[in-house]
Amino acid sequence: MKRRIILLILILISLGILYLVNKSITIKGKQIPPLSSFFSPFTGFWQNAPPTKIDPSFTVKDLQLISPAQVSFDERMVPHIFAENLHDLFYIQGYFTAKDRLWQMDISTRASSGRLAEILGPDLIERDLKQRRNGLYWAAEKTVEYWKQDKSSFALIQAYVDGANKYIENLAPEDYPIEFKLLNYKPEPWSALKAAQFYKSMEETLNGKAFDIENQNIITALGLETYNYLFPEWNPNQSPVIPDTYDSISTQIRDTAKLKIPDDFNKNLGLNKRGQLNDETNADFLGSNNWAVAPQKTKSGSPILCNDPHLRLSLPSIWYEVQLVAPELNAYGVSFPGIPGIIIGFNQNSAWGSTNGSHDVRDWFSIKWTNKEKTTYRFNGEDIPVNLRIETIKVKGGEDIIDTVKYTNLGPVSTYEIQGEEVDLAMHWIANDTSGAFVWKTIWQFDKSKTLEDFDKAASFFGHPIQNFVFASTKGDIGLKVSGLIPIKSENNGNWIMDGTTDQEDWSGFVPDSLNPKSFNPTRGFVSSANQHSTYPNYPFYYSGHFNDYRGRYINRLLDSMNHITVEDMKSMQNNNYSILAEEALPTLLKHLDKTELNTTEAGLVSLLDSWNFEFNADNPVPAIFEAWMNTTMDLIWDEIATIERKGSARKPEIWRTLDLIENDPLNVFFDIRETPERETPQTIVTMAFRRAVSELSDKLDDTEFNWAEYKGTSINHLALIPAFSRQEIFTGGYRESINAVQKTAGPSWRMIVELSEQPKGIGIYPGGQSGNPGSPFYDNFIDDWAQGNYYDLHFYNAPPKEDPNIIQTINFK
Amino acid sequence: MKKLIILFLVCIILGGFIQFFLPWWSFPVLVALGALFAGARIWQGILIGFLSGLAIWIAYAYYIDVRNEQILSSKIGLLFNELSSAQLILITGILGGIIGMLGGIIGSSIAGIIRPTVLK
Repeated sequence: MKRRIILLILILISLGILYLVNKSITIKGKQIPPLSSFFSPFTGFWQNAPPTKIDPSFTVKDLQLISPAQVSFDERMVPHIFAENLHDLFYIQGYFTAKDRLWQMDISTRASSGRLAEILGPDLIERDLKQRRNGLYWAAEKTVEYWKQDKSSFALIQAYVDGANKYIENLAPEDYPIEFKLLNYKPEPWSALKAAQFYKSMEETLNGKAFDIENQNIITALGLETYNYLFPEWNPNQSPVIPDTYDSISTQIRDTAKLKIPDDFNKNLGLNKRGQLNDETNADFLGSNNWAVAPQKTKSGSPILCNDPHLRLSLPSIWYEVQLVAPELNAYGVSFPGIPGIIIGFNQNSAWGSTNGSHDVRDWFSIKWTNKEKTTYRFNGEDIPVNLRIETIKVKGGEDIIDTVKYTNLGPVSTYEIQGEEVDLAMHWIANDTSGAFVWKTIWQFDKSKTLEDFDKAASFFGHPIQNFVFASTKGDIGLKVSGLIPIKSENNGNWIMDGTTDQEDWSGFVPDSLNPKSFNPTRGFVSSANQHSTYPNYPFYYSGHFNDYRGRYINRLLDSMNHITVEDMKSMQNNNYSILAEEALPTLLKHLDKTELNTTEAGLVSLLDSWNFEFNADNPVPAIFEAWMNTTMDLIWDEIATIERKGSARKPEIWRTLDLIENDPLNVFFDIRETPERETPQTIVTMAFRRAVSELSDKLDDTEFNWAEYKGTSINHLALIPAFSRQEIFTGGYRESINAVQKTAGPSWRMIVELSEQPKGIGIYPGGQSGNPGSPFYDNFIDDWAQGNYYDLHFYNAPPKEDPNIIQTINFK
Repeated sequence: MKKLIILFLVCIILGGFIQFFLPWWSFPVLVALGALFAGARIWQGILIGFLSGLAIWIAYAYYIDVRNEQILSSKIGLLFNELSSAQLILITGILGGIIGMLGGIIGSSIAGIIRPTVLK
């Protein structure tokens, strides 16, 4: 009897252990997946380790295709899809994109729509709430309703969705991408709503930047006059995207405001310590370059088009390379995982690319509540009730969070901090407007466009914030169009917090497409854009934004001087590390440096800087000294901004304006550091900054191996920030203000050059790999070549390849 | 002895086979049933369960790892305190062994309860 009881206990203990090894547990905040199913070679992570040898052919069962089709994968696993109609084409694109990028599709839409806490737990609740309060889930739902109005287009979106879902529904748990296993959750079906959520994430990335709150904090603290003096909108050296549309050039910046810092500017707060500032000058800039050169400027006599969009660099990459072939179109390029069609690429007749317009399309309005419950507000002389929307946030390991978001006529309401005071602001953000938000027409028309007229028409359908679309055709035409929606605003509207009691300070519509700036076949023989101002300031409509002052100027300087251009020239131009910012800033800094008291090490560094060629090359330590010196100078000068930041977000004036003030307004009160009794000048600041930067770098400078690449520390992180799935400390040059804008975590996410010869010839590369699976040899196999500035030939097929040496796998659908 | 060898072969061959179709827990169930019908003693259940689990999981993990040229195992190793691929395979095997062993304990214990004489 006793023995039986012991045996029974033994059984129970064994069952208990078996139960426990199948539980997901959390140790020190780290979530550990269920050990048994995660380690089992039959179901766990081992199943995500495919053989490195590729099967030359394999079969895919029961796809719902109308006609036979073929998919051929080339040596870099780029699918070349040959279908007999658009339904099948997008269905197959959906299928294989899901096969390679399913987890990425899932996580990017969760991040956009505020559904991360559901899989990652309570830490993500705040982030989810922010996304919901910004209206992103709501806007995606509205967008789908809008898409449905165009039935034939929506059917093609649905074909892509169906293709992706065919892949997902055939998945057994052991086939799930490894991230699902690590985080212990299941993939959901793809849907048009998720595609819309992906779009919202792109709009958030490209069109979410605005400084209204920052500017309001500065204005509240320092006054409007001082703000206007410190933050002029127009850099007089600017070289706009479309330089020849409007006749005269006006510059208005040199107003001579008498600068004062108000008496009540809080002295007791003292100074921020370095590093606490939310430092805009250090922030990675998401931008892009594109240009096209006309036949008369190239050696071959064919136009050449170049594009390198700078986005957050991640693994898996934001881009998925593909060739799409059907009777209606034959296009090659990069697509967004989850979206049918090709975004940037080329076809048999033309090539196209894009950069972000960087216009300000996100404005805030102060709301005047008219009842205690804050459910009615004053608008155009009436009391209007808010619309309430309930947002439910599911939380892993916790209870659902219910949030009520108030919507006014101007947009959703959130609470912000302005100099210590909490205020309720409504946000009008273009990402929440659906009018015209039909991107498909543009993308799909580009995919099949032949002529400049086709391009112009396709770009006119673009119902999103400004993108600078560039175009070149085999006929020899080039063009660039500032495409999309420019909100019509009165001057300065939307630059800080506006009055929300009327619609007077809101947008009054959008600039009609016919007045969007464009440049087709200009006499200078090239078009270009790099996130700078779209036009000179005399464009008839007012707009503002976060424009880049340096890359565009350098591109135009180079292209102006170049002739007999070859593809090789374009390669070295895309990889050019020269920066006009350094060219302009360094002489000013050196001029104001007091060289009399430098020790020998410091003097040695000065002579290195003196002879520097302004190129941010990977193996050179000098760019690191410059960057540290420039940033420290900015921090020391703008200590007042750091003080403002203690009671609400703020931003520093731009570097070009700072240099301008050093040269032309050295007695300016801002050069004084408020915590010191002395009155500083540009000279004392620049010298102090130099010494501080050098002493902070001193350990590193002793190391002969130290260089710019190490200082910059470019990393391409996995989307869940899992270090083992990331590539860190990549040896590569570049600078945020160079054409080759490789930064710490952002940079050229796709470099493409297309020569529009009779049969267009493209080369390109992105820092990643086609497969989203960290266990695949195709996960990050492009990164080393990308870091070295190499390119791959893009194989363009006019017909399904047979016995082609570049094809390593073929699938036939019968 | 012969009985043990047969039980071991059944656990390895059938156990490896069913795991292609059924979840991981099918394996300890199989070992338990095997130990029960063979009337195995506790130490026999432990030994056979552990060895067959170890063998199956190590062999399959090794096969996958060789064909994958250690791409994934080296990354997963980094996640778990910088284990090498070989250590990761070994740990996988030991986990498989423990799971099989628990099945063996359960099966032989049940056998012991319904036929106590076997335990002598």
